[in-house]
Amino acid sequence: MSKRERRQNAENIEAERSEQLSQELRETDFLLNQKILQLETLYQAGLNIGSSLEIGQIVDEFLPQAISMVDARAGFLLRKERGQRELVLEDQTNMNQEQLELACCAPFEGRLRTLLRTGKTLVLAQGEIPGALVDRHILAVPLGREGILVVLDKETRAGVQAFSEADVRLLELICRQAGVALANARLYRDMEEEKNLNQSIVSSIANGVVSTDLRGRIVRVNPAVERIFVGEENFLGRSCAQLLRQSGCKHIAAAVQASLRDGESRQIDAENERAGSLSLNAMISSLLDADGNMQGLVITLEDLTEHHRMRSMFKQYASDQVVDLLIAADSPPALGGENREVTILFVDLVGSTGLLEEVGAEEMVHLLNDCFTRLVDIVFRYNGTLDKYIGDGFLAVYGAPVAFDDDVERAARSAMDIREEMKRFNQANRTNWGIKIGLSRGMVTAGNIGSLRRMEYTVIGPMVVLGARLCDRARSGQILVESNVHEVLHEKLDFLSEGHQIFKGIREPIEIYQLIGLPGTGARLENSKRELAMEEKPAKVDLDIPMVPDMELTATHTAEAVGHFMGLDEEKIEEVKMALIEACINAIEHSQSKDGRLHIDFDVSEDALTIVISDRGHGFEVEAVREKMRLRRESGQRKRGWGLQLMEELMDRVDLQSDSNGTTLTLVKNR
Amino acid sequence: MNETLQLRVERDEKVGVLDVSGYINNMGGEQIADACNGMIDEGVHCFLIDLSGCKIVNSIGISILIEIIEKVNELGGKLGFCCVTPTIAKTFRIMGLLQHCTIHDSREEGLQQVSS
Repeated sequence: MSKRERRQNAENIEAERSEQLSQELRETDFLLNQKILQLETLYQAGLNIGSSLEIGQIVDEFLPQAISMVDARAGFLLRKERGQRELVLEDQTNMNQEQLELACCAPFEGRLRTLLRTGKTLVLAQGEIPGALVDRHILAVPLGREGILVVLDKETRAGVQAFSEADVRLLELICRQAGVALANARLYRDMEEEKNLNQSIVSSIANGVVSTDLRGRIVRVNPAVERIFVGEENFLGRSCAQLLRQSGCKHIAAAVQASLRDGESRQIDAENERAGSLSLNAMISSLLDADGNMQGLVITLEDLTEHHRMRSMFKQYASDQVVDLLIAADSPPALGGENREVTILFVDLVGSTGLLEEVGAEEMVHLLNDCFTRLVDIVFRYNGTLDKYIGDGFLAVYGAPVAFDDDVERAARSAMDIREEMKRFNQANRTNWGIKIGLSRGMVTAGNIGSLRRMEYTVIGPMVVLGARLCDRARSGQILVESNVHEVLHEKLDFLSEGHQIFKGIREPIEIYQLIGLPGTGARLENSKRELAMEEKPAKVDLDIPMVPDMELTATHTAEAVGHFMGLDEEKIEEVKMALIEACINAIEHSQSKDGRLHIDFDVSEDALTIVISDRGHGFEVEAVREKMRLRRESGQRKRGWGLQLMEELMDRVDLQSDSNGTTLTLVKNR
Repeated sequence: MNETLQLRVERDEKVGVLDVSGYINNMGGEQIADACNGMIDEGVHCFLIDLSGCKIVNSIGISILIEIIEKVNELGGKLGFCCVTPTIAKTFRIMGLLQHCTIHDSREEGLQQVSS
């Protein structure tokens, strides 16, 4: 070989080597660029999937980037929800339906489950999976415990190949990041769902729920809190205790502060908390984290203001059962006024006033309270409503504010029980009080009536007036009802007809009945009708008293009892008593009675009360005494000698008979 | 049976007020008279007798009240009654008291009248 040939040969060899080196450099450069691209892709993919908390968005970003990263021809992503067995296809690229269906079936599906359990990447060569995937190179990488990425067939310049170790490491790296991102997104989603669920539960609770931090600042309230603290705004961040104090709930506020200090649960009942317009039950509990550390408080507020208002309004007028029905009712009673059918019960005590001067005010009040307690308990027992006390009596209503189907019968049975209870009262207290009752039924207007400063739930209307008139017309021991009551109850209870009667303020005569009692009692009463109604046999009371000072009061007490028995009005009774006092003191002072006794007869007839006072004194000249008294008065001597004139002016008729056997004075008071 | 009169007395410089409850008989009348006489000795010449607690009087007790009324009138004073039942008012009228004293529906009205 010549020198030139040797040189040419060396140059050729050099050129080949340069070319080889260049080729290697280009290949190395290509690989480096590829690696750089992969790293950039990895970095970008990591950024993208890490910036989202939404599962769908993560999958949308991640799957194409993962496929591109390893130059796969196709791929799909399966996800597994916690608590569910199946793997769910989330997304796919370049997969046909047959292939996807195969991916969800055994044996491939089984191998994917194993992958998920073990966390080990699965590399499957062609032919390992029969069917539609038989000729595919498969690489399946776990996404933590959240799912699986499956890529198929690496595309190279040389054609489709299996995935390299580098591909496996790359995908494992990105899939770890994707798995974390998916886990975070799932947790975030679950947390949001839980939060929304709790929110809707708390919102639907009628009670107010307040949660605070450790300093007692409000961090959350439900809508009910805004309803309770009407007018308050911007709850968050405010001191819960201060809000409660401002609303008048100082006991709950103090309990909140105590619970913040010691972490103890507390319950405050509404009876202890009645300030301002709020009435609240409160339950205070510590709010704990997963480690049991206190994070704040949860305060549940039950608003009883309306309940208390209702109960407070009606508790003095109605039984607990009626009040409970009112509170539980879908619509509260129309306190502004409504027309409704009710039964009216008027009750009046007879004979109580006369006892006042004997027992004194304190004892009188005690007796009246005992009496009313017994009688009003009966009203409540039959679910009546106590409308008001009127002097020595009261008005009760059956059918308002709560109506029962048998209100009329309840009212009637109340009346009968009240009459019986008076007997027990008299026996227990050694009194002789009578009772008169009137019952009427019909439409009234019911509502809160009165001035803004004081209102009462009451009823008004012609039926109320009629009930009062019936009570007034009744004699002691009688229950008078009008025809509407009789119409409902005539088959259940016994009545006696009292005919048609005219009442003041009512144009037409009203048919009246006397309620006797349970069936059968009416027949018995017929036999003793005269005794009760005094139609044929007048009542007589005989009194024999010693002639000592103040013994005339015994006579006046008897006169009062007889006057009430016969239904005289109070003023007439007082006039009878005054006249009787004069008669007695005259006899005591002047008669010089041999036996020192004064005999008084009380005779009750249909027309009048006749009192005959007689003594066995020495008598006097009646006309001479009259003349003497007249002259004395005319001469201006006013002090004594007024007895006879007083009797004549206070009574309807006075008759004086006197002789040596004694004096008989007759006083008559017409009905 | 004894119906003892209950008497409560209030007074200022000018007016003596007697709250009477119970039965004004001769003893009750004497009690009222004693109370009034005591105040008259101390210079009080105007009296209001509140009978809201009194439902029964007799003519002997009233006659003692008449003596007080006469004495007060002689001294140029005034005596009034208040819260009197219709029957007692009628009795006072029959016995001619109302020509020399007054009757009032209320304590306030009575005080205003006797102190004027």
